[in-house]
Amino acid sequence: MDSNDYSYLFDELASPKFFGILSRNETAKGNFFLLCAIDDYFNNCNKITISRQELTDYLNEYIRNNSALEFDSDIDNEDGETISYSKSAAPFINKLIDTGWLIQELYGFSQMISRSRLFVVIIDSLKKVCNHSTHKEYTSEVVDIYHNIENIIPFYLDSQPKNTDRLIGYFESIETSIDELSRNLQMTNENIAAFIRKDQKNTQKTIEESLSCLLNDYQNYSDYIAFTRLIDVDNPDKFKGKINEGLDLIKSKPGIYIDAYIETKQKRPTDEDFTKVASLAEESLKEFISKVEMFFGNVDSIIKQISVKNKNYVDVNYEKLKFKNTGIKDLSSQINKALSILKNVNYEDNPEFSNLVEVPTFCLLDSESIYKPRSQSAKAPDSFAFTARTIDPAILEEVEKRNSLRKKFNRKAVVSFALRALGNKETIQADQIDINNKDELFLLVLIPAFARSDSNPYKIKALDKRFNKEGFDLADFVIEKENINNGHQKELF
Amino acid sequence: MDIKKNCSELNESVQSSSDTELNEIKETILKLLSDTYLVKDKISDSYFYNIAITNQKIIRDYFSMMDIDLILKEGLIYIKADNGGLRYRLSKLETVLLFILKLIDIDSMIDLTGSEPHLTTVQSIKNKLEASGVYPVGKPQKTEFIQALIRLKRMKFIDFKGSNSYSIDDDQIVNIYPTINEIINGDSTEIILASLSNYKKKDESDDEESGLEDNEDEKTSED
Repeated sequence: MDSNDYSYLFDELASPKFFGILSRNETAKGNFFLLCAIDDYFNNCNKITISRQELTDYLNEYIRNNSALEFDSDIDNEDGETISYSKSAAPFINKLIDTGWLIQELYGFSQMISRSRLFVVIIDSLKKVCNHSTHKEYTSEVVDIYHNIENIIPFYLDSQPKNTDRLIGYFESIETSIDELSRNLQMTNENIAAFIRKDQKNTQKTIEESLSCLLNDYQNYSDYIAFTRLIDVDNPDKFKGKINEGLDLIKSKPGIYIDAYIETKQKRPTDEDFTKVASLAEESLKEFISKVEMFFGNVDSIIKQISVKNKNYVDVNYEKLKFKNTGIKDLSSQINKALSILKNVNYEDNPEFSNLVEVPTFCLLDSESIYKPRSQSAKAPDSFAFTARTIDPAILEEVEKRNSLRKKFNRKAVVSFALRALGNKETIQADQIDINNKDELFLLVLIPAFARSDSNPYKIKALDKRFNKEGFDLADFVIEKENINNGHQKELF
Repeated sequence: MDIKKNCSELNESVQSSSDTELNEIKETILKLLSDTYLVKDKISDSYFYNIAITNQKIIRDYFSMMDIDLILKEGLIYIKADNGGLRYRLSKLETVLLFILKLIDIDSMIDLTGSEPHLTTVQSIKNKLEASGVYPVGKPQKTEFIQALIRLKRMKFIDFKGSNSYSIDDDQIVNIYPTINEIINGDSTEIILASLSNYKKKDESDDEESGLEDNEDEKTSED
């Protein structure tokens, strides 16, 4: 069904205020009771229409007997003004006619009232929601499915179908039963949940009341009885074997259903295009099989869902009742007393407190322990034997040589050389610096290497030319003195 | 305790059990020795709990040879050594938290209309701890509080998801296990109260003594 099919509901509404009758908080309950009373009256009389006078008399009598009932007695006149009337049946009936719940027709000189189609459907559904008085039994629906499958099997075992109408009838009947059963199971689940919610909302219950609710109200609750029957007498598992056997037969010979479907459609007057009937039959068969399979696949989970809810409710109440009955309140006061003492004394100052609560255990370690095994400490020797060690003079000389080299060409030495070259000048070009030996040549080469540091007392500007010094071809640059970082100069020298 | 008798009974039980059963029993005994407690509702324990329930005779005989009792309570199985055994001493915060958890558990049981019993949240524990006034405002710090909860979780008093202060938020649901009843019950609380009141008296008497000394000092100074 697509959304266009649903929109038909609003086309059918005679008045946009149709649902308003049941939506005003203060009067909705009274209105609903009166609607139910009207519905009951129609059903009891077994009539489709009754005279307005008869209905008014009946409702007035009903209102007199239920004087506390609050219901709508105001009506909007033609000018859009709301006029309130005394609490009687006539204005309420007028309101129902205005809003489309009731239909008024003239037969000769008498005004006859009938219920609208929506009235019948909606009040019937709402009554079903409220009605817990009768025990639901799933047996009939499950057995219906079972018998229908049993009836279908001979059609598949004999080569020629005996009566195609009957075969299709069995299929339709199974689908209807599954729909009904599925809806009822959902309702049972919801009703049990609603009962538990209602019970949990009552905060002022004594032990006796809770016990009575658990042992009387809940045990006699129609949906609970239906549920216990569902897991016992009506359990769909009992019929699953035969139903699966039938389904396998239906799947193995799809032609029988398709032929029967086409034949039935040809017999029945319909607007359907007969060229498409074969594909429709195939689709219908697929739908049927998936519906049955899905239902019997899901029914276990629905029963389990109800079962879990039921178990939790009983468990929770049992534990709480048992606990409440053991006069445990003394323990609470003892604990509170202990806490108040702990509040006033200094726990850390009393080493005895560490023995206050001890948890017996057999293993102090587990996978989450942060314990690290202690490594065995080495035992100190009784006496130490010192042996004089001599270093090879050649190695010592090599080490000293390297150390002096490091000192000779470190940053301090390079900066010192650069500043010495600058002297009092602000700038100097590299090719103008006098070089006396190879060490100084290396220092000159290293000047740009240390120039990038911010703390350097000089900076370098590269020039696009080269010069020759001591037989080496070098890139020329200019050294510029920076006087800002005196601190650093101090630090360096 | 008749060790020989227990040993022969154990031998009979072992002979009549299959290899698979014996392996399961061995695993369960090791689990009991490492964890002490097996909680039915704890997912990682339920397998061992069920094995311990079905094979309680053989496990009991095994432990009885070492003077260790196998104790069965509702939803809990644990071992207890009569002659001492190891003890884990709870810190002040852990002790206070255990008291508070027990109070919450009692409240959840007394309230016939509330949510499921034995369930609470980290926030509820915090609120109750603050309300107790044992610690000054702002104490204990979050990490210390969560670490204490984690230690109680390791001892199977409680259970919750997460294992550090980053993964545990205030809405975290905490399940209180029946293990708590074995440590905090009517008898144990009486003993705790008796020790606590002794300490309090000791504190007061210390104060009194020190007070007297002060007075004497004052007297000497006056002289």
